[in-house]
Amino acid sequence: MEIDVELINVTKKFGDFTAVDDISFAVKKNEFFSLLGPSGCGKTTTLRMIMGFEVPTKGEIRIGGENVSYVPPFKRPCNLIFQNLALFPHLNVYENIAFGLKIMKVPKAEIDKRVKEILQTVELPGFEKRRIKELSGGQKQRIAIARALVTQPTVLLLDEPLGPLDLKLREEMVIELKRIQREVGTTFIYVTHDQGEAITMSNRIAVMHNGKILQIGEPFEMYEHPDSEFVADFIGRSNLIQGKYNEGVVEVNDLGSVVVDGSRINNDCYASVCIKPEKIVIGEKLSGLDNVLDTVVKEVYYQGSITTYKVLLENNRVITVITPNIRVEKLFNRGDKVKIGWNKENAIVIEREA
Amino acid sequence: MKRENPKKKVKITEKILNIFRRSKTLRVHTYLLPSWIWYILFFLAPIGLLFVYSFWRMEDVFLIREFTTQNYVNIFTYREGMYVRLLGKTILMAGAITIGAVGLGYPVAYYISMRMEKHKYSALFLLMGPYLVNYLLILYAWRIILEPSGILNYVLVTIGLPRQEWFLWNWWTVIFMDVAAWSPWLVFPMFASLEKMEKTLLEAAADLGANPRQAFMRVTLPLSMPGILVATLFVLIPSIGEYATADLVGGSGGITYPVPIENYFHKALQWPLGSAMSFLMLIVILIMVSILLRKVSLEQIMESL
Repeated sequence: MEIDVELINVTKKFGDFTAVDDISFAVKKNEFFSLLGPSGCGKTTTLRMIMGFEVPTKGEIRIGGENVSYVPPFKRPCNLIFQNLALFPHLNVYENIAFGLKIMKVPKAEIDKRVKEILQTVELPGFEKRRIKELSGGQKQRIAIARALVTQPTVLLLDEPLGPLDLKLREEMVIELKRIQREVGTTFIYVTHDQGEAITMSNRIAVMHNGKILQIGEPFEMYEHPDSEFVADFIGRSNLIQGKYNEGVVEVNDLGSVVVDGSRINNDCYASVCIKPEKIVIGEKLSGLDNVLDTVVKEVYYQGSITTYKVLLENNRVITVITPNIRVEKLFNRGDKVKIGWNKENAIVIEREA
Repeated sequence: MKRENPKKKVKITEKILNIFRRSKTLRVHTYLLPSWIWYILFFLAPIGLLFVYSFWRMEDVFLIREFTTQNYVNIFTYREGMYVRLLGKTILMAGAITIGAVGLGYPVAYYISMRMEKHKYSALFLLMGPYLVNYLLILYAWRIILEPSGILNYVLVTIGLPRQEWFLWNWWTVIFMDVAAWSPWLVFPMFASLEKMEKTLLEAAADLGANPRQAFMRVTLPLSMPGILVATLFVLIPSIGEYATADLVGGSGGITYPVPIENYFHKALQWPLGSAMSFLMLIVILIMVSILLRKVSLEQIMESL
């Protein structure tokens, strides 16, 4: 597999503050790779180093096999979709898109052709003469993407470009981005704090926290098999129940024992049981499950296709349960005594520090 | 009959109100009434008075209120068009002052906006320093420096160089003084438009392959153009009409068009001719402003302030 972008033991310090702490990863050609993490986790700094706006304190950045750590941004074969898009307000759509091509001294006829083609790709044909001011939020996004793709960079980096859009438009653009990426076949590195976007679009995700990469993998793998509490909670919001693990059972204070699949964990250690909300069954009577717990319903959120319950365990811990609304006659109400349950293969047990 | 009268009155007020309801322009100008009064009282009326004067004439010390265009003819014919040549020279000097002052102010504005972080606003404050002192005072101070027996020549002679007579009473002295006087002031509008520019646009330009020079030419310069044009207007208009510098350090070599105007009003009692000359200047300025405004919309200019 051809590698497009590679970071080798990269560290970035701002004074005493370590923004990025010894990270390494490789992005394959034509891959849609996401850097996912909360704000301040170092993902934007990482992206800026790949772009060349920051120089790594330590380590090496390679693009297409070449060490570019000290190459200025304008000489790197990667383009960026800025968080604020950074479209040139004094130029029209055509001039914005043609900007990079003009710098590259591409002949006029060729520029015209390529601008036309890329406007097709982003589904805004005939927009050449429009002023940037006249465009809607979604159209600006597409023009920014067109401007970055038209010079055919090796890598396209995206810095939370969907942030300012409203939810509906964002969902639309997520699908659009994926389609555009498939169509042009450029390697995408996408920086976001939105796990939903990352899961939907990416081939692989790297979760960052406090300047470190916690886990890299395919969305499915990250969701189903997180190997830390942070990843479990960040990707798809897990319920975490902490206790002490021994012989296939986690002992939880004031609650009792929880049966788990212990094949990936050592005996006699502190552990977290992590269960995704949609893998928990809720009902008045439950049978045939490995774990069944008594709870009281605290909150009910009916959301149309699903219902989210917040239920209180006997040890006063809140558990979130999401149930699909298939043939629902009635919902549980606040204060109802209900049981929740799950099978041990639907939960993951993660070793943790005491 | 008696009952119908009040009804008729209502109808008249209604009619007047309807005129206002129908015409938006009329409403707007009603709101603008205070501004109009100011504008008419302090600008249009005095200028109008001069305009009327420019079509009268003097006979000895008496003003003859008869229409004549002789004053305008005189401007163009007096001593084979001396005044027209003087106006041309004044415009050229104003152009040089503008280029000099804008050219000097822009790098300063650029540096403060792009490179300074902590002391940005203290730096701007320092630029106001020269304006705390009366300009005439500064001019006199420079006369002391530049005079044939002045400080600069004293230094030259002391280090063994010949005395220079050309520092003062020249057109370049006027240009030098005006550039020095204007350039700090011009930093402000140019700084404002540079500050308004989104700095990520430069990163975007670099990202698309533009080197720093290309990024400057294609992004920074066009986006700061409104500020540059405001600065240009700020310096160009007054330096055509500027009188004090030319009078105090210009001498015969640095004489400009407003100097004889002042003479006609002040010393020669030739108000009609002075008025006509003022009007010619006003027309020239209006033409220059309209050319400049064609390059950039008023909206853009006002936004950058």
